Amino acid sequence: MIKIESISKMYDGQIKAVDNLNMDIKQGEIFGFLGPNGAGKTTTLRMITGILAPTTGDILINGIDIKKDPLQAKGNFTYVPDHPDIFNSITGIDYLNFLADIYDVSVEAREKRIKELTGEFGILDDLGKVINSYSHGMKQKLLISGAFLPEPKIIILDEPLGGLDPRSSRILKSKMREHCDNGGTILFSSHLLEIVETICDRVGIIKEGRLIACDTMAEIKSKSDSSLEDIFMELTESA
Amino acid sequence: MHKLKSLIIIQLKDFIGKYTSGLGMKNKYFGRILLFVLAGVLAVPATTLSTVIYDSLAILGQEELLITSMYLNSVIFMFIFGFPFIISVFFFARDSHFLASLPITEDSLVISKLATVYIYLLVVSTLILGPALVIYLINSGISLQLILMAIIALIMTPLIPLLISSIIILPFGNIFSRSGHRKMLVTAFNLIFLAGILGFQLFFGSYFEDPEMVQELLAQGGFVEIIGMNFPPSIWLTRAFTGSLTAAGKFLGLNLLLVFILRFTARLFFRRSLLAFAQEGGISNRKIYFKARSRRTQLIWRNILIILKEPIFLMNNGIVLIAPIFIIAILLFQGDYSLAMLGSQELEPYRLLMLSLFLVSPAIMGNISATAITREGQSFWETRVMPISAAENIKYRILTTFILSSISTLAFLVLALFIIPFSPGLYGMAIAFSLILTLLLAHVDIVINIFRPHLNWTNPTSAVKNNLNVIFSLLIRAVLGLVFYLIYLIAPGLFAGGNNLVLVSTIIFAGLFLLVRFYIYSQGVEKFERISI
Repeated sequence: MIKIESISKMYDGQIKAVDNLNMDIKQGEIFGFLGPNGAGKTTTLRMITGILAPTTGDILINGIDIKKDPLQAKGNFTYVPDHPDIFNSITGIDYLNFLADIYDVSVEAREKRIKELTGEFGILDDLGKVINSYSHGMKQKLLISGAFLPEPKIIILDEPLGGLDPRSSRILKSKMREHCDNGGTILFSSHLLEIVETICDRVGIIKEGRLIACDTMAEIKSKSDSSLEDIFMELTESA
Repeated sequence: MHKLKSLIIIQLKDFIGKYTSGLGMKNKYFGRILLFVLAGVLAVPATTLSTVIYDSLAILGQEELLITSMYLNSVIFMFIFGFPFIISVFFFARDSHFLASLPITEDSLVISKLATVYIYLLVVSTLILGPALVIYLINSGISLQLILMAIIALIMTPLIPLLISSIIILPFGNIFSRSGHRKMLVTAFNLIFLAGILGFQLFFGSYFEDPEMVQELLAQGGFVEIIGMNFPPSIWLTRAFTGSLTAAGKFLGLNLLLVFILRFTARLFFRRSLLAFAQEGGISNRKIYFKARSRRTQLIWRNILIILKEPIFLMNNGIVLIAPIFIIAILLFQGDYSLAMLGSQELEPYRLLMLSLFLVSPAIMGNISATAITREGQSFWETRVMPISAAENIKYRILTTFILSSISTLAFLVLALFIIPFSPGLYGMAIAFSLILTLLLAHVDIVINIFRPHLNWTNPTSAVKNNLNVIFSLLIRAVLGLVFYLIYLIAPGLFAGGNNLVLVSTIIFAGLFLLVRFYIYSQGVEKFERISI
């Protein structure tokens, strides 16, 4: 569903933020993207979403090259960034209606899904408020609701659990599973290893821009008796 | 004292950093050079004005009035620039919550914030009063006493506007911080203040226009006394330059007194502004709705809302769009021009040109497209990850500019219908000219912004004001005007009569518009797609 072929990203022609990265994320799987701070996770996700252009390499979204046909490619996914930096001066409902219009969600469908999603996350009653007045967690819930709203094939989330309360975290995890069980794909980055361990089908670990491990949770764990946290520590220290 | 010093240094570094990053220069050294060049360019109008005033006053033998005049101008400009800046620093600064949590005294926080305002005003003072002081010193003979006095004058000048602006804002602290419509209130407040300053200038402008009034006042004791009666510090400063130690003492004394007042009112200021802001007011919760709109409407509306919902953007764009009305009102009020002149035979050939320029003035003075991408700042990613083509993204930004400028042009047209009688055909020509030029400028400006997106701002002021895009945009307008002037010099026959000029210009602008449009949708889109966040 997401095929990354030898992508690299250099800044100022010198600093290599991502170095010859290859990944193939399949339909129906939850793919966890791990790595220490500054490893290149956000840069990679930004390249996948078309925010940043890779210096070299190709990214295929559902078989479409995001460089050659960005519109078609972007129509397949929604994205939640690591910082909820969105246009803050509009109301929550303005934001969701805006997304619904961009992704062609009918009025009936959007009403049903907005009420359902925001009701589950507990922000339905706050949709009439200006986003500026939301807490960090509320903004995150709004962005997540917006990502699920068009029912895209792929949802890309950069640190989606930061700022969420335990109840919302659980709702998000179950929604992610439900989305993949229905044929969707999730790519998300996180530092919360115990969560990654419990919900991911496959995990990729990145360090200094290079992918140092990429396998199913079962395969990774079969190589060692340790927890994912221990494996992560071992890999990121030795690689 | 140590904490206060650190706090002031960090605030100043942050302020200067925002300013220099606002210029969007990647090369540090080139940025600095450009900053000095920019300062030099900004000082040109004040230098020219000072020279003209000095020469006129020298004939009357009252050269020292140059100091009075430019000091007053400087103070007025500092009010205009300082007032919104103080509001921005106290009610919209993102660091207020963080600073309020630090173990620092309340007055230290306020003083550190005002220090940034002071530096800002000092730059304004240096650019306006500075050239006048240099001209006065050169012509009057440079002495240590005069140099010292000039330095004191520059350092002290920002204090009066700073404190008075602060005192005006202080009582409104609770309203600004508690109201759900704070941003709108700030905008309204700024506009009222600006109108007040213009009114003040109009009043005094017309006052001195009346020869009988001037004669009468001269008989009472001269210009120095007249101005001094209205604003004593200006007369004290002027007399200090002519050697009066008493006047110098009064000027210094007043400013030092203001510093002490500021020191003692800082705590009150903190509670009324910074602390109240940190409390946040009641949040309105509007009714939710489920309504579909076209993608075009959504994107244009989004661009318009970015301007409407941010007071700095609204102020900046709103003022430039209505500025031509203010300028014309000032000229008419001061008596330099009158509506009756429009009916004169001498101006007959140029009436269509005047109407055309009047209608297009919002697009000439405004440069909304030059910051169309920048205004979005860090939320630019939103439309980048959506299935919206770069061409569409650019097109709706240009359309937003066109709509806003055209609304203003439409208002001007209604006004023109009442004051300049024309045949429908000529009105048609003027409208065609203004629409084509508006389209051309909206396209040219977006090219500037595509090449210089500058999205990483933290203060909205740096997005629209301290941005070289705006200067480049104005430069392009100046170059366009210059090119037409050169064509006129080379081939005056081409523009024989104002009507021909409008017609030929419309055709040339239409050609340029097509060229720029072709460039944007062939090369510009690629560059737009490569904008990094």
